[in-house]
Amino acid sequence: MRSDDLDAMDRALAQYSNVEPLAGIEQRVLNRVRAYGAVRRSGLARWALAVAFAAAAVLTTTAVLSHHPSAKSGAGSQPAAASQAALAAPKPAAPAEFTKRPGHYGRRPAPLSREERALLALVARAPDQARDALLDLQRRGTEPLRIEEIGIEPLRSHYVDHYANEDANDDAK
Amino acid sequence: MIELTQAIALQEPELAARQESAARQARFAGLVERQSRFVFRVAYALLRNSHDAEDAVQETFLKLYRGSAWEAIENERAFLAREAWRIAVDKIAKLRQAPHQPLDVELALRGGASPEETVLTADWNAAVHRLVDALPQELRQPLALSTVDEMNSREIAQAMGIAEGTVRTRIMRARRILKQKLAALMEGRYEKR
Repeated sequence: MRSDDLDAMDRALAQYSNVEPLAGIEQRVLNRVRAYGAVRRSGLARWALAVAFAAAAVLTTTAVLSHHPSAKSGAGSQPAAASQAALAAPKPAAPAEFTKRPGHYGRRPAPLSREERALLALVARAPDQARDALLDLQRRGTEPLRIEEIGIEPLRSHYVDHYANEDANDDAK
Repeated sequence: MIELTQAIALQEPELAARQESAARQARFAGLVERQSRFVFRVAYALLRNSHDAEDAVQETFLKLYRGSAWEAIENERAFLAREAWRIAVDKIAKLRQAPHQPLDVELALRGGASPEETVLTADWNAAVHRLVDALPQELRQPLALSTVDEMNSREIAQAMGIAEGTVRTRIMRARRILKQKLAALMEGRYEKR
């Protein structure tokens, strides 16, 4: 191989990768990077939204369960002293339809509140008194409301009374 | 007045974060402006296709942007050459999976009625380039990288992740094979004259 051929080979090799890209390659690269950033931001926003929805759902569920009658305490309506003993009484058995069956994962019945247990104790201790109280309550609920007749006296004008008195004095004179 | 001061104090971290983000993007844009053509040539030397090379350039810079290693690099050319080389090699592997016509020296040089006639009439540079394309990958890659913006053997070794001595050896072997094949072709040309 001649020396000029070798030089030509070196020149050809120097041209092997001497290729210019299409104009604006820098801008195209930056555009793609920006597009990636926008996609990532929107992806993060979607995740944040999903997490917010999930948190709201959990909070709502928790709030609903916490306001269930079974979770309510008897604070603010203390039963009568006579019923205090009944509060310590053992919890009455649940109705048969609510008894737990094997493999049954339904909703459990709510336990009796303090007021309900106090009422049960009253019925057990004094059934006649409880019956009278119940009948009285029913009677009050069924009796028609009576409204007293409203009497409205006519208004008396102070001005008229004043001049009427003056006329009467003049007549007397 | 106190509320205004508190509002300003609350906005200061956000403002600093935005300024930092804008500065980071400006630094990255500067890197792209400086080195995108170099990265393109590295990718093109291996892929030999402008479209694939530009894809490799975009993937290279996107990969850099996702991480933060580019903010602490000392030698931009070596670092970017390595990233571009990796991505280009991956692309070559994918392109090999696609059905294609295998590159062969004789096939590359033929083009016309006979190899001799092709060499006589074809562009000399194109003939050399086709011979380089036909070299084995382990020899072609260092030789191709050596033609990119005068990359030295040390930079090529860093890009390929091999020893500098290995790079020199492979380039010498590649050039020797190239000379032999070109000599054979030249003999045919001179005999024809």
